[in-house]
Amino acid sequence: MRKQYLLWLALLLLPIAVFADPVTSWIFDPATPVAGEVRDTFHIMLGLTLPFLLLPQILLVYAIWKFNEKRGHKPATFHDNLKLEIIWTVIPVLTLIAISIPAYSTLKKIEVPPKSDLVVEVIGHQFFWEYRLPKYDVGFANEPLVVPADKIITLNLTSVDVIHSWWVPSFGVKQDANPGRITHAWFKAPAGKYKGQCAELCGPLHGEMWIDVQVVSDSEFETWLESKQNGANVAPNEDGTHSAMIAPAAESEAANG
Amino acid sequence: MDSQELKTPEQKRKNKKLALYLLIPVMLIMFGFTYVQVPLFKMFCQKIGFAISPLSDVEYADTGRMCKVLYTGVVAGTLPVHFKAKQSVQTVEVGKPFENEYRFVNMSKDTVHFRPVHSILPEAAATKFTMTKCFCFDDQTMAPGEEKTFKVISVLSADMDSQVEQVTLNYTLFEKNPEEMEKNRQVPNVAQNSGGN
Amino acid sequence: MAEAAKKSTLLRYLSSTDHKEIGIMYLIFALIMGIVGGFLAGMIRMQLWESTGGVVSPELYNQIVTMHATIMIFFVVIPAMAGFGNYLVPIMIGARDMAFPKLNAFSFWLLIPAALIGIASFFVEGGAAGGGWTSYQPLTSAQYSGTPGVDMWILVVHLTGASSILGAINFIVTILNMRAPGMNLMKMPLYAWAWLTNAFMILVGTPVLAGAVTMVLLDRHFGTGFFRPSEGGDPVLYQHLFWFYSHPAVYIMIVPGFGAISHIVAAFSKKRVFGYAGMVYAIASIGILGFMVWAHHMFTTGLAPWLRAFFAFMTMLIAVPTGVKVFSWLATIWGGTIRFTVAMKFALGMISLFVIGGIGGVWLGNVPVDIQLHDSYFVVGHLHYVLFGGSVMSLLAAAYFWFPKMTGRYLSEKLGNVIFWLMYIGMTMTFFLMHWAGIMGMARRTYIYRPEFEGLNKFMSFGYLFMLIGGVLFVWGIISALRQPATATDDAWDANDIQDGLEWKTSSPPPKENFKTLPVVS
Repeated sequence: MRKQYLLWLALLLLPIAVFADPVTSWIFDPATPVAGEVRDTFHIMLGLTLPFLLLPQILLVYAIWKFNEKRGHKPATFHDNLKLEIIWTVIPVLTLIAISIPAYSTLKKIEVPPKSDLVVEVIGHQFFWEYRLPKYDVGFANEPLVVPADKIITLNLTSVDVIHSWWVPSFGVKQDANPGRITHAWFKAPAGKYKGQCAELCGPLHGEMWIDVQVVSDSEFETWLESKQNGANVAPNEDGTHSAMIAPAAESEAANG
Repeated sequence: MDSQELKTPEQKRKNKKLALYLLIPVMLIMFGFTYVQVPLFKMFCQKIGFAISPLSDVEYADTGRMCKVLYTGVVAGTLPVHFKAKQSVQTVEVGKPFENEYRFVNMSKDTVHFRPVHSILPEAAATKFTMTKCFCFDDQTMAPGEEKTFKVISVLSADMDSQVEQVTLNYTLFEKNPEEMEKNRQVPNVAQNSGGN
Repeated sequence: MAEAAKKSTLLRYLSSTDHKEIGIMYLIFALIMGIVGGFLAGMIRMQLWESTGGVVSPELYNQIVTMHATIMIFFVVIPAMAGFGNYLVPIMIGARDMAFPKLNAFSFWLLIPAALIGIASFFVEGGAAGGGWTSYQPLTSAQYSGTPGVDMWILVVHLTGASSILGAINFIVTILNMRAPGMNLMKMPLYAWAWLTNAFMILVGTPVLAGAVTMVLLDRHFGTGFFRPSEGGDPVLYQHLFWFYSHPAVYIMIVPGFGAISHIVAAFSKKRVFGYAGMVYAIASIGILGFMVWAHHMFTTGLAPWLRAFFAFMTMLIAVPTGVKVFSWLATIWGGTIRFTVAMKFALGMISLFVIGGIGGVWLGNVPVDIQLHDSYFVVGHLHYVLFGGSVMSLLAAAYFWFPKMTGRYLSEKLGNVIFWLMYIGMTMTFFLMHWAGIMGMARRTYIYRPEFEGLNKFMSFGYLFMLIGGVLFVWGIISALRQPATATDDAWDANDIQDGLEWKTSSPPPKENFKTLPVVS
């Protein structure tokens, strides 16, 4: 019996050794204040629920050892204990309330963005993301989103076909993009490159709908903007059928044709 | 309690009664409940501001409070229409009507039919945003290559949360096929479709 | 002679309205479909062996994922639970059959065409449905999935739904009207209580799913606009309707298991089940609360914050009755004399695994955390802990516990021991680290993934082999046990004195109409 437990433990530890090259996540590398709060909420919850996770396992193992029939004792006959039952109803309720309080304050932070510095429209397509910066009249698709560092970036998300979900773990942001309506999210991140992907099954190539965000300094952002505004803002149409863009270039095209 | 030796005729009657008069109706009610959800959901959405009634009475007021309105739009699927607001951002006074213009171009050589669906952010502003004139009250048809200009007149209620400094009004154009368009003509489309929750 | 006897047995089963024979057919059906579903799971694990995939196409991968879930839910767990329920509930409460035997047979036979349609859908043009078992709109609308796969999937849901609803009506009537003299509701075995609650959940929830998929069908072919924005519909409404059924569905898949565990744990501790009344209230409140938590599957759709707060609280609240059950099982063992049979091992294993799944559920109820964990591998890990660690382990426990009652023969304890450890270790290897992968940001339902997760995924795929071997041994164990002579007595586990169920008061296997003279409960 003991051998089996040892085997179990060894097998459990193996993949942690295999898991050498970690990705950026909200739990180890939170880049935004919100992601940090989500991590804290998680830790509080982890601390509060861990006893409930471990206690039954410990009691189970202890009972298996202690009350094994090999010990040759008579079974007890009790099958009720009101006090005990009240205790194991009330304590979990109190724990849940304790978990809820930080959860709700974090939810409020996620939901109520501070005054926005830059609005980015995020538009989901099968199977790529389109971004527009209405403030600068710039739109592009299928390439990294570039935003200035340490600014409040608000995202207005929508979709032109099926439901997608914009997920960048280290920002603590995951928000569905629904066709026909807009939803919102926000982040404020230091300079760096961040990865994410679509999180709502949106068709065969769902797994390839990656997200790349480059958060850059103000000056780099200016340079990038200039290069974008110099005519490079027509959405690359995969097969020529998608004309969802309404960049100014499309307008003039319409006027000419 | 319930005595039974074999399944007596009385027992059988009792079973049938329970199934016929209680359980089957429960099933049918739940099935119907699904369909009742459709109008209920629309009502609920209207209540919390995911859809707005364009014909409601609007009270104008002087508030002196300014708010930014951002006009955005996307075209769903492969509908070959371009559209854009004349001013993509406006600064308006809360309580006073304001207007903007949208220009539509049909880029194709076919007649197109579509339904514009609007959506407003943030939620606190959604119930306070009233349109008195909008192309989204009706389904639209455009001839090949046609260009059209629509006026949009809206107002933000004076009692809107003063925390709200920026409101986004988004339109999505969904293509319709012509037969369905005819079918739905009789029913006035009261902008009840901007989604819900 | 033997040939003729075999033939007549087969014919008898095919035309049977006897609840025991129907129950056994349910179980055989679930076992066969379990092989199909397990095969699809193997395909998934093969595809995910390397981060670049390459075994199946992206389209086929989505179809496999969709049908793996559909088969495991509608053709394995629900029918297997129904099989044990059908066999055991009438005997436990001292009835001669279900209230409506013909309806009972009809419920079962509905599953056969459903299963055939489900499997056949892989071979039609465009393949099976690929929108996930959730089939969210508009992904499965005519515009984005125009092939017949989705229509066939809808038909499968309709047929299995009808089967469940008819079965539920039968269970409720049987349990309410046909109990043995003297067995009042608060003397009823917990397994019967679990089924009563379960049947009510099916009766209230399943029609809503049927209605919702009917709407999808109408949208796809008859030009309605329930979920189409271009017709004034809303895709998000589908999510509400879908989860209104499908959250209770996860309780539908586990509640009968809870009932079974209570019986097994008591029998092998030689102690009456602890806190009977508390258990009944807990199971009933799970049944009611189960209908008030559906929107926790939708925390990222953009629900109003106050709604999310409400659903978050209700979700966490459901942990309380579930906790009561777990603690009561522990108190049942406490002070008992534990006989470490295979059935007991599966039961204790189920408690240990289900606790992990349950706590994972509480984490997922915490909105800010859920937003990050939603649609990640954490959810995949969590749901397999509940469905495999909870439902399947309790089914295996039930199989070992009631097999002697059903056949008069015992399943091999030696082999069972091996199967238990294969299953427990295999499932821990495969599903435990999924929680970790999800926390680290691995999205679910993708046919490729970031190369950083390759080590983890290889390990998970390796665990699948353990479960595969366990499954094969289990089938082999049943076949070889059936070749043994029948030795089980009426009270096969020598635990009659602490059991509420009447199934140990009749022979193993029970005669036609279950009892020579109907027992009276004092």
